[in-house]
Amino acid sequence: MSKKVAIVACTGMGKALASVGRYAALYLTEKLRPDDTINVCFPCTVSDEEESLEILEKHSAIIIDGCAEICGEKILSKLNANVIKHLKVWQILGKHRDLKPESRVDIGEKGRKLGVIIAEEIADIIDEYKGN
Amino acid sequence: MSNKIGVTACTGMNKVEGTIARMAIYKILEDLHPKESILICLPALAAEVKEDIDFVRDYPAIILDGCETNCALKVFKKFKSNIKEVFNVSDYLNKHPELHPTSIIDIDADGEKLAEIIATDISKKIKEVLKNE
Repeated sequence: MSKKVAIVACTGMGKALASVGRYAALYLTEKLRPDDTINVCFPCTVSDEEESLEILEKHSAIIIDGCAEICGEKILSKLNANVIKHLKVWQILGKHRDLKPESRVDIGEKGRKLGVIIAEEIADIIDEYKGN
Repeated sequence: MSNKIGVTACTGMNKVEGTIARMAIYKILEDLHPKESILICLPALAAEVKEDIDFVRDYPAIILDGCETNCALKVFKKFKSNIKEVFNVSDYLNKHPELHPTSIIDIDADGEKLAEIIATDISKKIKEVLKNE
């Protein structure tokens, strides 16, 4: 397994917390850790697109799920992906109750702060994973 | 006969098209057709969440894909569905070379404009479908 980590956000549209998860994945892969991560397009994965499936074969994955349906986890378990961590946005919100996102369309300043916290938490997980 | 229509966006992550698709569908759901449209969450459908499978079975649907991979359409074809139209953001990028949306993480002004144009076309199709249902 490569030490680059695949990041899979559920990208759901119905809940604001899924929008936060999407923001966290993009912030992590574009700004915080572009060299250590690969952003997996979840819709591509669920439509069996070859490139996304290959990434999940070659790299360990971290899942960010936005709601209790845990779609990211359900799909990746079917693909036998090597998941090193499964983050649930609502649980992280539980630790930061003052950072409730505004809406699913615009998560607002608080939602973005929550997204950054999630991205930083994942960066720590990646550091630990790379150290082992 | 249906008085509602299901709408879905590809929600792709690695291209600006996915961000625009999300925003266009949110405009339908929240601004243009809040009473006549229902979100079919593509990841939830792929994960076989019952509510989304029921929506696909019970309502005619309009799909907005982001790129030529057509992921949303591919997922829909795995289920019994009544697809009325498939729109694609990449077609609109080709039709509007004056617009250069670039930001995936937060939609920019050009992305907003394109989302508005796409939502307007989807809205016309929704009215047509509901009239004929």
